[in-house]
Amino acid sequence: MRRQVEAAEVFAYVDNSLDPDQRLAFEARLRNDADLRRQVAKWESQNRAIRAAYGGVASARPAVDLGRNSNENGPLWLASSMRSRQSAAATRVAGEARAKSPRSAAAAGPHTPSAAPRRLAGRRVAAIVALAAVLLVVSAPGGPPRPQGRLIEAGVAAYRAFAAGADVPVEFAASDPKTLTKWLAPQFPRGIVVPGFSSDELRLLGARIAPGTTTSAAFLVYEDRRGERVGLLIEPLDAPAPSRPNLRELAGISVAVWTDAGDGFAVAGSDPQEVVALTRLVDRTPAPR
Amino acid sequence: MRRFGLALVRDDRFVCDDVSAASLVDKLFRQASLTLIDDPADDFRSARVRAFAQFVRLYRRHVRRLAADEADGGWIEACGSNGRANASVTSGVRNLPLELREALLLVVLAGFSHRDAAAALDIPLAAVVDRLGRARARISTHVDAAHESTPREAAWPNAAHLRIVK
Repeated sequence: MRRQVEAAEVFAYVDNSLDPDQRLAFEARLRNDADLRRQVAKWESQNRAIRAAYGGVASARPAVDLGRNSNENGPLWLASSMRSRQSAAATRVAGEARAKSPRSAAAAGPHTPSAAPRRLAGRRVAAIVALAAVLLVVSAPGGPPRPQGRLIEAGVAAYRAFAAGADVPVEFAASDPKTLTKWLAPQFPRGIVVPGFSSDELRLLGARIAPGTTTSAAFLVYEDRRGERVGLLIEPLDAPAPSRPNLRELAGISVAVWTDAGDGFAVAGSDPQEVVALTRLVDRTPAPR
Repeated sequence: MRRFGLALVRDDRFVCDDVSAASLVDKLFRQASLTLIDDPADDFRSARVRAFAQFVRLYRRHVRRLAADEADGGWIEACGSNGRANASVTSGVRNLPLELREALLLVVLAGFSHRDAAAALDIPLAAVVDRLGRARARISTHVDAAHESTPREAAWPNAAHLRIVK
């Protein structure tokens, strides 16, 4: 019986199901008990193996991009020009490799190129490969998250299209979060819960379905006392790691993005203070874990 | 949730490949969303638990129907096997009975707490802990057994039809 209780505690610990106090007490015991440590290590490694085994199952959908990408240290114009040059170099290398392959040479007929052009082509390929290698080294990942994350882009696009003007109507006008949650339910298999908070500053106008990063998203429109609108994009994602709100500015629009409880959030508006206010209100609403 | 769904439905009995698993998961998602339309949840946590619970319920019903078809002599294509023990954890998970698999995947893959998993599966908390223990022990045994048998098989891949001749 005692062993069963102990095993249950070990499982609860490795599955992150203990209360904070229980967790601290268990960790204190763990420091003095080698056998307990061995058990925890065993089940934690099994958990990691299961997660790793099924990590690629849903890889058909690209992972959510919260702004972290390669080549973040360089300026944006350099990043885009490097990408285009890399792809051009890759295309040229592939084209020349195709032309040089024995099969394509046979298909081309009895004519064989002379030695001089072949040497020239070889040098050109070597130069392109060297250039591509240099570009790859220069564009190594690292640095802070870049502002053009997919969620940021989706939030800004939705704000521009559906909330930037005070005269743009919402698809479904309702100020009751429960009514909107019900209206959104058929569109999202897992369901999207419209945050229910009370605020004197912000008033919920309604919602619409908007394009997200990989699938459709719910776009909620709020209005402040001055008539300025702020939009909240909520997109169900495939188990992203939770992240804290990240405030950025893109083309004059402030946007805060974060992920929590399997959803991606983007708050967009022209006034950064309103964006921060709405982010605080939404982020404070009850989360699943 | 899609990752959980794909992992749950992919067994070595009824769903043998990833394409079938993806199509079944999409179908069950649609059904789950239709059944949850008129009953929205109050917060993120309960919405998540109920969505997973509905998915699990629909999948159980699907499996029961397939099992009944199989018992009636219906034609169900068996998943192919190369006869070798697969040492992967994936194979261990696929070989688990459904009730153990769903508890384990809810907790490990979907990140549910034991209490939320109990709510989603509509069973007591103690039952979840018990199922987790059995599932983990089975996977561990499966992987260990497969590792023990693998070197011999690798050395003698066709040992079954070899005979010692004196």
